[in-house]
Amino acid sequence: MNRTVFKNSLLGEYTYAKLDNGLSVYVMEKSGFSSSYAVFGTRYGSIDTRFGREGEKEIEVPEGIAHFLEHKLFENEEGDTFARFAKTGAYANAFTTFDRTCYLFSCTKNFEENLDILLDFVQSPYFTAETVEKEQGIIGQEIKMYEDSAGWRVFFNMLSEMYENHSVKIDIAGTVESIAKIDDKLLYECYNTFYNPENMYICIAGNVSTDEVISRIERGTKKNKGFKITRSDFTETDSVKNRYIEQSLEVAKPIFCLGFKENLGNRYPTVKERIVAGIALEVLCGDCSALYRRLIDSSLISDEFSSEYFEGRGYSAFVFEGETDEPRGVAEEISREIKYILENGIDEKLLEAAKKSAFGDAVKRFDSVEGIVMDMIDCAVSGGELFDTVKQLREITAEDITERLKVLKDECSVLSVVNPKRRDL
Amino acid sequence: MSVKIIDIEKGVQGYYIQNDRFTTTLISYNFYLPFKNEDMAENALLPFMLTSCCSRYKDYIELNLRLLELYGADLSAKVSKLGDLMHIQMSISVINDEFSLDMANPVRDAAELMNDVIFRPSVEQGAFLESDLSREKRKTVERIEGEINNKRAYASTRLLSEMFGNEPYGKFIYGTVSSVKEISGEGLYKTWQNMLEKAYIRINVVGKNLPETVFSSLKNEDVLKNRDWIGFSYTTKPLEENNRVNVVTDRLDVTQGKLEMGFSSGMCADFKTAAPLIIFSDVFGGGPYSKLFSNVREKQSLCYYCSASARRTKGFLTVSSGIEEENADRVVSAVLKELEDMKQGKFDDEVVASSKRSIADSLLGYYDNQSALDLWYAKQLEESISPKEAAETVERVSRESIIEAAQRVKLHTVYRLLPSKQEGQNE
Repeated sequence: MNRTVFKNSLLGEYTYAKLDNGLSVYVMEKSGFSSSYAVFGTRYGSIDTRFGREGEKEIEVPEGIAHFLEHKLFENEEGDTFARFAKTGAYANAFTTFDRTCYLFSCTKNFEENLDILLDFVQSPYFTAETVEKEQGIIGQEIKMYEDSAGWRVFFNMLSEMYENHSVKIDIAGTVESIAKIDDKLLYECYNTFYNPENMYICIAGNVSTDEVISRIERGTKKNKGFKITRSDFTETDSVKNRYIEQSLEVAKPIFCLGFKENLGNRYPTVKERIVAGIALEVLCGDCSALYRRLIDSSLISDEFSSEYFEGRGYSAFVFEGETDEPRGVAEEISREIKYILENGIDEKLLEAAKKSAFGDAVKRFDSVEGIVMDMIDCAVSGGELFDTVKQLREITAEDITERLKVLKDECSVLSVVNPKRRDL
Repeated sequence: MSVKIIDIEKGVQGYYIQNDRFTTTLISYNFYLPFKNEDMAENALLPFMLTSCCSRYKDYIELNLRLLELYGADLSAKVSKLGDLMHIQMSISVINDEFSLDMANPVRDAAELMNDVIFRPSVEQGAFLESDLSREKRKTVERIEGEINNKRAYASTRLLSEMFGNEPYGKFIYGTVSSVKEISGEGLYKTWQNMLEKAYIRINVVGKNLPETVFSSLKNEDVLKNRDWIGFSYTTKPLEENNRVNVVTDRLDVTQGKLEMGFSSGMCADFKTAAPLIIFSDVFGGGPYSKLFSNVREKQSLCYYCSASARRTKGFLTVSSGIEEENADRVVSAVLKELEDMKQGKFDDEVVASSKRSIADSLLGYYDNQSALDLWYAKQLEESISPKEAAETVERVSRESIIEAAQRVKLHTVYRLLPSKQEGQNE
């Protein structure tokens, strides 16, 4: 086992250990806290639809299978996992995103017992034809719920026009048709490939002892199966399929999502790329920017306006979302402001304030054991370490920001709109 | 953790919730006023105005820039219903001084900024400025119109409006589009004065140290010295029983239906008195061990979600679910059957024990969550008990008292949001 302790004079310290079976473990002791938060996760999400083991043939699996597997893992041969956590009082849950599946609990008591349950159920798959069929009904309902969600639809419609090949464009839960193709055999295939300690991580923060936790995990996790996963590379160009897409749903006014595609090849953005992107967005359209003032004062946007740097393995985009009567008008204002900043430079005062704010946000993350664990998962999946933001912020310059804003080109953008349904009243 | 209560002026109290574990300090101003149809829209708009038009700053952009410079201090406004009171909250959260990179005092600065926000808005001749007003009115109108975008929240708002009719509690808290449009700068100025003079005011500070001036500086605010304060009486009328259940159906172009059921629970009560109802609601439809989750969702697969939640402050309980239209009646029957079983004591002691453990665990987790601590103390106007005392209260709830609480629960209204009919289908 390799152990490294990372320290920060302001924020404390945490331990990273790479166990002999390949599992990555992150632990931060927060002795003043009442609760502890733990996640057992795998580097496996909805984008992993084509994969294999080194030296073997790649296979393609139905869309939505990672999320399906997450649901099914809560059922073990002895019964329901929730029932086991109910005996300890812990809160338990799980989630699947584009590139990760995570199982979690939080508790104020019985931490060790809860950790044992977590280790056990994630490593004890039990799928049968009957239980798979029943789950198809439940997940079908979940998919339908998302079909009515304008915020969800407007985002995925944007992705569908932005990406030619990358599986990030598919819905995390799949479709009713795709999940109908899932069976117990396929679930085992995915499980045996991705739920190998080498591809997994455990992240813990709270009122725990690092040494005890690590030795408990060492005792409670299985051997490395000793193979390398191969994942399909998604070749993507800079360009997008279509620059506009719309749909109608029951909403009050049009909802838009404008994304600028970035092409970093088949990798995760670096920590610095992520920090710079966040600050660039604050400077460009945060609530102190000239653009924000124009959009609000001309009644083009409301409170709902927001921006994010959306990123993962092989995909990244600068995304703007909100409600407006004139989606194209907002999109034009955003591109005009990008050009203006590129020609006239950045407001230095705003840049300094944005850096301070990013520093404050990074410090605030340590207020919550959940926040700490979510950041640890980011480190486990996409690289970097917990104190990176605090350390690297000072070095960010105006040039870094303008260089980055050059990525936001009109021809690489997609405007997705959900319009209100016309109703005859 | 300790809580210190400081009397500042008549009807103005400071709660210092000392807690070492956070990197930030949170200061919240809470105002409580009787909830009335007449001034609901004005009261709801006010905190959004105040947090965007402070006279110390040229405009809202300058104010936002100041917040950004204070390490991204988070200034927010919120309005909510607390029984028959309207709860107006404005708060700021800022990193503690030891994290400041430039030897500044962000906590003190944030406390001062908060005072300016509350007491010194941009006003002229007894009126808020038209430019600020029109902007915030527009945002509120969009908030009201946008309610339909989130179908689950929309269904629950519609249920309350059917249950409470013309009572303020049944109204959407931001008022109606027309009532917002009618708000004038002068009228809102009076609303602001009224809030400072007549509301019960509670200022919560959650953090490591108490900023020196946070409470004492309030002694200099003239408006607080001459308060029209006649003492605080907190009574809320609980939802009355309904002998003929209302069934209301709306149709929208949606894929999934929503079914909301509202029940009267017989009384409004503080946490201690309501503890049996809280456990009942959790065993009935709270955690994954609950009857609704394990029977209606898991065993019968009738819905994707099905959960219950009790409002002790207004004497009612709701059950929310996402359904297929053809299952609507079966879900209603299945929920009522589970309720009937609860009334007859047909529930396992083990499930009650699970529920108690889970509620106690989440209450104790509040100590690690600044906003949760703030809300916990902001929402208890009766005798304040700590999360730890609440957890102990929960442990002591008896099986008999859970059955008694269940027996007071009566179906009041069923609200269904269903997909629009295709042509040729009959209602």
